[in-house]
Amino acid sequence: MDAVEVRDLTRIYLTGKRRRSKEEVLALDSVGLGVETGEVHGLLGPNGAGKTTLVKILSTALLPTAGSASVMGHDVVDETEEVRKRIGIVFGGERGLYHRLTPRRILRYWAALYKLPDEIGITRSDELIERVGLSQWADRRVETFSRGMKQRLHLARGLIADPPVLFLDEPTTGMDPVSAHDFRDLVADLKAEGRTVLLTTHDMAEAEAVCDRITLIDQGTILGTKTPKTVAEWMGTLERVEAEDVPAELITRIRAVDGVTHIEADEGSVVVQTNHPQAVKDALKLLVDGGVTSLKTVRPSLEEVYLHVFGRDRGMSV
Amino acid sequence: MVGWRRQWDLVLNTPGYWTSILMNPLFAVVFLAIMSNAGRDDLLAFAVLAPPFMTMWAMSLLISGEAVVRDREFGVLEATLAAPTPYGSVTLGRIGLVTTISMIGFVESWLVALIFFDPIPIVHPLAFAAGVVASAFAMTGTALGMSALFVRSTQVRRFQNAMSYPFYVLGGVIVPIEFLPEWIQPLSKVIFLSWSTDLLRDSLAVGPVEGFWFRLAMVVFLGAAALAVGWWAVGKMEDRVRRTGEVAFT
Ligand SMILES: Nc1ncnc2c1ncn2[C@@H]1O[C@H](COP(=O)(O)OP(=O)(O)OP(=O)(O)O)[C@@H](O)[C@H]1O
Ligand SMILES: [Mg+2]
Repeated sequence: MDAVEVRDLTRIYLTGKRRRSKEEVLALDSVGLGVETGEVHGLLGPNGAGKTTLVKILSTALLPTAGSASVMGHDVVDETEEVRKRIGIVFGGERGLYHRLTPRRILRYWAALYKLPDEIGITRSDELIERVGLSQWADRRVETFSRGMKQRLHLARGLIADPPVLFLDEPTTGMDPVSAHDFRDLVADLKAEGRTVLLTTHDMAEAEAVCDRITLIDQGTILGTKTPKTVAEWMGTLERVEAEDVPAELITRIRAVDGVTHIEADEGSVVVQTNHPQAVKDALKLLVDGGVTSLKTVRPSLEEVYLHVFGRDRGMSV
Repeated sequence: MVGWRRQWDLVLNTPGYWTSILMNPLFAVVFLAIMSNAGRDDLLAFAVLAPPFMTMWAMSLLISGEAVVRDREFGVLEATLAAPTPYGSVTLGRIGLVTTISMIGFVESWLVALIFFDPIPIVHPLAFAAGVVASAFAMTGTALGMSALFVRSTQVRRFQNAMSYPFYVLGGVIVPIEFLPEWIQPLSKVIFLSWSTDLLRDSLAVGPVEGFWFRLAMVVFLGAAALAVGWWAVGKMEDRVRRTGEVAFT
């Protein structure tokens, strides 16, 4: 049995103020997904892909319009209580915390909502504060916290009931690189403890670093489930080189490099698109040998990967 | 009712809840002074009981409106709905806690009378205590019922203001119900306040408290009815949020 099973799940939102003139937004379109027990599964997609919608449905906070989903064998619509006992939820962002309370108080409050006996709630709150590195701020009001600190508190909150299944919705938004790195270790620990994790993100590098498998989603549709290796290859393949003060003659030579697909040049500043890691190396070498000092490589955005791999043109970059 | 101790943190950190507690002695002084100067010793019980009932009503109503609204503002509502504790008992716990705290008002009023005027003897202390506890229960139930109303309104505060003085009058808190127009008096009978205030005044007075058990039962019954409606309505609200996705996390 998969820890999470999603079958033909569809969700339509009705928007607009007036009842009659409501517009339909198709947020999930017959989505199917299986998350194996003990797996760290990534849900990778750009803004508006439907990631949060899916997580909300799985966590019983939102009803599906059609289709079904289950967590640890329990239906998310008919057996909400069974599901709620088994899951932890972490929603990203600034919101979701009582500003005037301290992390310790907030965690104890949630421990009560998850029906933990008081002593357990108290010890577990303290352990989790330690675990997410907030010990120093355990008794400070949350209103003074940075986004990353709030995010770590969100994580602790999601773990309060010691759940076998965790839903993490963009858990690293707002974290600095160091915290984000700690977060990766934390996810590895969660996996080692035998927990199942479903993590949404729009960051390919993050998905590649922490997930066992990655499901790609865009505009409510699943595009496929891939290994982190495949995603890493996409990132390498579609890497581009950006440089300043490049002589025209050098641009011509780079254009001729095998694997260079496109060059944008504007008064000596160039962007070199490639479709092969070797092409990046060759282009870089030409630039360095040609005396160009201002240059860098840039990983492709998720939108670019979707465009190249799936031919999906979203007509925008986020 | 969940997390009394934990809800305490939330309540403690909301300054608004404490205003009524602070105002209570002032009201008591004013009311008692008016009645004494007018020579209406028969109405001293009104003067001493009106402020604590107003305190109780105001605080409970405030929390019943704020509980859901604050959870929504802070973006906590959906995560709370997805927790194993039913949202009705989360709300009920918070309201119950505030109502319990608001019972301090009775002590304040009594002390004001003792210090600045003549002590008010509590002739039937057990009946009085039972009446106060039953009133607090009914208040909690009524506030839960009200929270269901507030949750649909975007102008909670205006609504709350409109909900106070008319009820003080209808509930016989400020003036005896007999003073009200006759056609309006039946309406008073469905408001638990009218039974509560009557009962408590009688328990301060010399002479037997007539029909004590029936009147106490009416207070409890009206409170339980409101609680049932409130519980049902909070469940409805939960369903609606899950159906429409109206409250956003992000
Ligand atoms: N409550 C709502 N009412 C109406 N439309 C909504 C609601 N919530 C989400 N949507 C729409 O549903 C679609 C999917 O949104 P969702 O939040 O699930 O995407 P996401 O993948 O989480 O995006 P992001 O990366 O921005 O968090 C979007 O088009 C969004 O505008
Ligand atoms: Mg989202």
